[in-house]
Amino acid sequence: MWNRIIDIVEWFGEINERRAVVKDFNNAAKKAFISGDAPTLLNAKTTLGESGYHHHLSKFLSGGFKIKAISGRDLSRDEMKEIGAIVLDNKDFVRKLITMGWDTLYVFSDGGENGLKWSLIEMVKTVYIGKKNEV
Amino acid sequence: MKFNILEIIPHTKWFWLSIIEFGVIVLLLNKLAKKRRISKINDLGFEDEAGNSVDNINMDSLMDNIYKSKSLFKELKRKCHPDRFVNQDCHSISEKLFQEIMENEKNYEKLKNLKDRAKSELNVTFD
Amino acid sequence: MMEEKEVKTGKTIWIVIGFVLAFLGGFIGMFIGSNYAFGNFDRKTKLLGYTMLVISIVVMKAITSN
Repeated sequence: MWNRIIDIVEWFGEINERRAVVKDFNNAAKKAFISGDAPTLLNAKTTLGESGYHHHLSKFLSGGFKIKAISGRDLSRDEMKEIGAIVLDNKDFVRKLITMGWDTLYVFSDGGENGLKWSLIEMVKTVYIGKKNEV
Repeated sequence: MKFNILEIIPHTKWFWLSIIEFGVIVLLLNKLAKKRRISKINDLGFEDEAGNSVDNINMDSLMDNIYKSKSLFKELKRKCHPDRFVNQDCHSISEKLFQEIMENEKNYEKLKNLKDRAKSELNVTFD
Repeated sequence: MMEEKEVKTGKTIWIVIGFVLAFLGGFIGMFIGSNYAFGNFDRKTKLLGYTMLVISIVVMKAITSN
């Protein structure tokens, strides 16, 4: 029983950490938009993840990391693909997302309808295979 | 309608004692949980290429990678291409530099460093 | 680099309309719900679609039985 209580306390701590990651991302995106570097303001939030992309660290009902353009202009498919590629290229960030329970990365445009999705655990498999080849 | 507060909080002395005890237990559990949480996060700690532990992800550099790396990469690719330095002393330097530029296509920080190297080693001028 | 997959998300206005029409009973609520539930949408929109569908079926059943 005591372990369960500790798990509950840990669960609250993990929620704060996840919230901090999303907040940091949004603050950096705001800074980039205000300074003029970014044509579109990006906003990240947590949503439901894809059931096919689950891994054993996935959080229930909050495995999706959704990046959405919320002002400026719409994103084209290539731009959305590029944003996703750059986020996934940052291996430290992806590993942090996976260990914190996210399993799906979404990138959506301003209208909110069309978007792209990636499985974060596939990225880890790719990294592992890469390291295997190096050895 | 009157109500007696003593009826709502019976055995006042023991009630407050139990509140204090509960508070102490919660504090101790919190401390224990913090210790376990810190050890868990340290176990999951990961390192970058230089072997330094990475705890905080730099979101500002992520934004720079998203928005600024593409234009800088294009400019570096154009101005530091080895074919521009054929039959020159710095041809081998330009080849190495170009290879590093291609490897760091989406990394704005590294591209900036490569730009400085291109200025100093290849005497390339940028806008 | 792994492949990306296209996905859509439901617009808030249509989700609200879908729920309103589902509660009123009728085929339009069912149609909107099934579109979201079985279309190429993200999991959140799909779950909302399934909910719309179930509500509209239940309400329709309740209306027809009365």
